[in-house]
Amino acid sequence: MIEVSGLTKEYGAFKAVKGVSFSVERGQILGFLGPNGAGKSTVMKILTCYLPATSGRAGVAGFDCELQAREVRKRIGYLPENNPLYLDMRVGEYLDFAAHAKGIAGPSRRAAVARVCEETGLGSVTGRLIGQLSKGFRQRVGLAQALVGDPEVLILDEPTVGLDPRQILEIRNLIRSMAGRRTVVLSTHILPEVSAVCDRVVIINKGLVVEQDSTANLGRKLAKSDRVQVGVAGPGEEARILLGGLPGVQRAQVRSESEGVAVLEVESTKGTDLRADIARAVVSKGWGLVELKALGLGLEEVFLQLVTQDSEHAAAETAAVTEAAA
Amino acid sequence: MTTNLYPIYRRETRALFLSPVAWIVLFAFYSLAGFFWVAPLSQYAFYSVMMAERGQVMKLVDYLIAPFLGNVTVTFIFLLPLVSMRQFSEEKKSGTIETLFTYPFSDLDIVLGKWLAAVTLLGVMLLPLLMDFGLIADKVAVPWPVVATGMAGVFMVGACYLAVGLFTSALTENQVVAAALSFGALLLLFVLNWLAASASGSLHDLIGQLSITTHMQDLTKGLLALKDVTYFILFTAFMLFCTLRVLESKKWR
Repeated sequence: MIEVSGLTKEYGAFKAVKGVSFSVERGQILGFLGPNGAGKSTVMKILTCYLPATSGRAGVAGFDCELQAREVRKRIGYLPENNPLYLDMRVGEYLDFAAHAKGIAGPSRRAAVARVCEETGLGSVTGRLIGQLSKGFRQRVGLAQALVGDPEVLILDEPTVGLDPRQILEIRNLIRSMAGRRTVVLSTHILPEVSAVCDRVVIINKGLVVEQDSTANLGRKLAKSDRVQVGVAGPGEEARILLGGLPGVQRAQVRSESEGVAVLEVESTKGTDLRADIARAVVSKGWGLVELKALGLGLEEVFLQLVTQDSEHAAAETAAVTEAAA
Repeated sequence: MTTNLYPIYRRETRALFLSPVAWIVLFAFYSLAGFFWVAPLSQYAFYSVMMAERGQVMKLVDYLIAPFLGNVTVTFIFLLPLVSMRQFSEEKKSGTIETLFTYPFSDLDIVLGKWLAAVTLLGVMLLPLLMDFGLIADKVAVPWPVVATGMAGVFMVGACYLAVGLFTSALTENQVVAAALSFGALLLLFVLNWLAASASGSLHDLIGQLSITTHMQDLTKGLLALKDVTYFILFTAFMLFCTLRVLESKKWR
């Protein structure tokens, strides 16, 4: 449904996107994950034909985003970043305009607006000025204008940003409920959002795709740590030699040592979990085992940036996804 | 390719008439137009009686219609930039331009829809002025065809000013900057023929022909000369074309 290949975008000397390729199948929900400034919004702007790419191709439903912009625009609903709205219009009026713009004529327009209001829970506020609505309601209006006219493809740039937890859940459920019926691309910098909503994930950082996989596979990859952090109440150097000598360990190094506790990082061959062996070895020497924690892996650089805001939650979510996948 | 400008036109017209700016402009315009009507009319009433005693006739076109319509176009320089200033700048500032340009419109739909909405307000400004002529119709013989062509000419001038305003609005995201730019540009074009007086030869002709004032002299007398009509149509089309190019420039910047 969506084909992107070798996409680049330069703003003057600044390269925002440096060769992004991915594809989304009909009915799939794709999560576009990356820290702020990774190039997510730029890719979305290209997909919605707002900006042309510097090079590479983007296509929606078989139409080229640059050459057949009108055909592409007819098939997409777009919620831009920061959800810009006409604050001096009434909700109903604005949605009517959006439906009209998308070519829905006459009486069927009223029905289309009513349906989308029901879907997004806007029924009670259709007569209010958008400028007077709360942020949660405004976000729904933004989503409603994207949804009106039943587009095949939805492109949502950070649809839950700035909402309270309950509203986030509502919006996520709404998006989730579209799975199978509509093709959705949503961007976010929050990891749990992806695992909660998406079928597939594309992780993008500094304009490049770092990783793409199904949500379930990615969760499994993330849970299988190949680095372990060990806190030992004992001599750091001796501990390093001991742990470095364990079978399967590639490298062990002391990260810090203070107040009699040494923190070490142990790297093992991918896919082997050495935590039990490490614990046994440390305890057998009579040292105290203060900490034993699996660390992030291949994706760490992006991942760390993603997880900092939300690390506890992310770990729990990842675990849940892994369990579900197992 | 089918056009899809009606939704834009409808939204813009609504937005215009629901904004206080439109009503303030209408209020100011009707007040000024009322003054510019009454002043030459009272003079005309006074002098025409004196002239009639001497057996001479004061021409309504020269002493009432032309000065009145001429002054009306002067108010346009101040008032019409206020109508057009927010048309693109506000969308740029609030970011709604992004949703607007991802709906299935062509750029031309958006530019024409917005311009026609402003032109509609211009029509609302001008139509009631016909009442002025209706009020004196039982005292003097109003040359209605002249009034009609004169009003059409003034309408054309206003539509052209609105195209200039739309262009400056697309240049910036600040409404005041947009208004100031179009006000400055219009005033400059208006006084350009003063420069022509101090130039000579072909430069004199060139500057004179570029000035709006030169092309308005006959219009306000109800004469729709082909060269003047062409001037305003080309000028308007050129400004709308420039607006399109400005909007397109975001794609290569």
